[in-house]
Amino acid sequence: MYRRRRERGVASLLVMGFVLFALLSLDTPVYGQAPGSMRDPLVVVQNAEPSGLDPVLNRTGPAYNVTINVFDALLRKSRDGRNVPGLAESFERDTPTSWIFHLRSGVTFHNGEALTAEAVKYTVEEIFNPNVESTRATDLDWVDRVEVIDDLTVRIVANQEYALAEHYFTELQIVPPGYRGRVGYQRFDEAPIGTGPFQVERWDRGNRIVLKRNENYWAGPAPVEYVEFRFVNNAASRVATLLSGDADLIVDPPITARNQINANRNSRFASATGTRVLFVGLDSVQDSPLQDVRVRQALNYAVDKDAIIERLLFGLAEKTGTLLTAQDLGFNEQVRPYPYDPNRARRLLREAGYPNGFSITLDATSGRYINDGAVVQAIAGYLGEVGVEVNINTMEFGAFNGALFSKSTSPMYFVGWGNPVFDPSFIYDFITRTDGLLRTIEDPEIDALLDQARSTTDQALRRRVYREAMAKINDAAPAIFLYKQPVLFGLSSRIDWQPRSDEFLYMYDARLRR
Amino acid sequence: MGRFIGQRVVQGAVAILVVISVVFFVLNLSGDPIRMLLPPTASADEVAAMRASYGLDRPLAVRYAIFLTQMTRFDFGASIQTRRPAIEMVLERLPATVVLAFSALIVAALVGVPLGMFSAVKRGSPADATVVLVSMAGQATPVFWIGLLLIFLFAVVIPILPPSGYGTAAHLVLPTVTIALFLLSGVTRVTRTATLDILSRPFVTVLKSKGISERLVLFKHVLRNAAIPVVTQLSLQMRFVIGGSVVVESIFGWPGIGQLLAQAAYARDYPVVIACTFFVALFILVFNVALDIAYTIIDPRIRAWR
Repeated sequence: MYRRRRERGVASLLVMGFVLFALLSLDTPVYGQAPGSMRDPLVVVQNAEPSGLDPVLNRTGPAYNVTINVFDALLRKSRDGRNVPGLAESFERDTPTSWIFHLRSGVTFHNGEALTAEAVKYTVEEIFNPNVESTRATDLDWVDRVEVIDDLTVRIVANQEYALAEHYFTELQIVPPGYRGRVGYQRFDEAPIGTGPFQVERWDRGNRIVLKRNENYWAGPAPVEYVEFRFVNNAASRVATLLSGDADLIVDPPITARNQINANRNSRFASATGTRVLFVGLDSVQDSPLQDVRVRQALNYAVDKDAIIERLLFGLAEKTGTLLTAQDLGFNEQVRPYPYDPNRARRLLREAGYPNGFSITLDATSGRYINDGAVVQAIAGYLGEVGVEVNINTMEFGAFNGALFSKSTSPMYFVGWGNPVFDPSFIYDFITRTDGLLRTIEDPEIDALLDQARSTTDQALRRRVYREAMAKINDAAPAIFLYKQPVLFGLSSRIDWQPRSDEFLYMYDARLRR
Repeated sequence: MGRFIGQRVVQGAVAILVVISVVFFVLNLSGDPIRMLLPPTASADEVAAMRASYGLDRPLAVRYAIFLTQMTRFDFGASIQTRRPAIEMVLERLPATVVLAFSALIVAALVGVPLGMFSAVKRGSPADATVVLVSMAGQATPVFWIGLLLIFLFAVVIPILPPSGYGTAAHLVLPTVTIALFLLSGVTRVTRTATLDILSRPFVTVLKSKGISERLVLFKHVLRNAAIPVVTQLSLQMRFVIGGSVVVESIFGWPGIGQLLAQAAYARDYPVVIACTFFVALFILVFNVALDIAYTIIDPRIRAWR
């Protein structure tokens, strides 16, 4: 009898304790708070949590979205893709391989530490510090050394001529040598200090990162006082945070949710051009019918890209001829994109010795690119109509990524490649070169052209060379050329913010309406 | 009793070793953590250098041997993505998952057991048929779909609960209900079957013929005897709760082990994946041993046998 009572007592205690815990952690509701205040911050919901916030160590998408608000780089990317002054109020290229930067005076880090030329030198040297094992070192492998000229003047010397150097200066976020040296990079990775418009107030792992406005920001304080980054991996669930009024900005809503988002009075759908080019890589090295250039051309004729863009991407994507768009350097408008011409595709296949077509495997991921499952199905459907039977092999992204870079994919693979600098080298050097990172074609003539463009910073010469390369690459058909996918956002009705093509979430530009 | 628990612990340790070994090989044979870590533009040489600095260039057999030696010290190594000790990352996520798992279990038991008994007592009635049908539907519906449905119902259509996030009791409601709905069906069905079984025993007829009230018979005698299969069912469900947390936590942005595991597996951050797997397996092991002890409290006959 006694024992039974005790059991019952324990059980009810457990339940009561639980209820008590639940009640105690209840938040008081938010009423009458100013938008953007601590209790009612601007809420950004992205799909993944940063692994760390030290820009010396990381530059992954989820981290960069946060650090771009906390740090400043030497230069800034303008909305239209130009490299404009950032922490450096001016700069000049004193030799073909070196740049002198004049830093703004009076800029301080969030803890009061002054920004000096020494901080620039420290940041670059930390990226190359072998003990730090920075993932950024590969981005800056063209930098030879940094020379401090005086307190606010610094010179960066490259080990080769490099056309994209200025782009990387926009990503060189400067860290404070004093503070970071004192706390160590591991601590700095969790609680960083920068010169940017916001400072990190708290980071609840797995849940949220709260940023508070830097009142002493050199360009003036941001309009919004508090920004909260949250992480929801599931896209439909992210949309729900927007529809319920819990979020002000969500990244990557499914394109199919466009009408649902627009129909809700709390929210609207927004998009910008984007920088990611989508294509089906055609591996002509491994043994398959794709070794014949006529087959690769036939596949390009067989796919109706306009219909895919119109129906599956709501007309928001931009068709790319030869992986480039008109904004890119060296874009050759005389190179005509392959039109949709299934008869010509059939004829080319016949000439190549495949009158009855063939069967081939295409590797793809699901949920990585906009509406990717449907797009891949459509491509397979179009190819089926000219007799090419496509087996779609859907892979988890980690496995796909591993296969892609070890060049062990199936002969065809559906993939996207970001080109944030609008420069063909960022695409062609990695995709269509013999020793590129992905495997498509191996053509010594194209390699020679790409080498020539790479070894100079003479933009007029580069433009000429790329115009020629584009024509050759178009004929060689290393891929089924598709489109540049847009970047998609869901916005609340109270936020005033323009999406950028480069996907960067600069919250300095955001306002909240009452 | 002590010997019995000792056996269970040894069995469990072997099971955990097998599980984490499988995870080790599967993760290492597909994908590449360094490629997920470095920018896509990194050259092959740069990737090779980084791989060497993480010791990933050594043969798989050698790395497995090193891994096993580390495991004897419970050293899971540092995360490839964050460089923090993997065990630290898992431990800071553990409370969120445990709170969610137990709250779902409690809700499922508090609702499922009475529902199952009700269904058994009203056997053959339309009410019974409804309970059976609904519980079957609950079991057959994917958890992520129930989760999204609940979010849209209770955060968008009738906005009374937050759609995702963590920190207050309100945030706990939807993920708990999602998992509880899945568990509920199993609990209800097992309770119903067990109750029916006990109700047909001669001792129940004797009790009733002695004039003891139906309610007393049901709650004092039948429930107690039906408890063993019900508790067993709940314990079996526990692994689904933990497994399902990967799905539920990524839908609700719940900062538990499931979310961490999904992110780490995506990045092939295998020290973290292995640490997560280890704790999940350990949790289930401890839970099962605790349950074996619970049996002896529920049913004195088991105690007598050992």
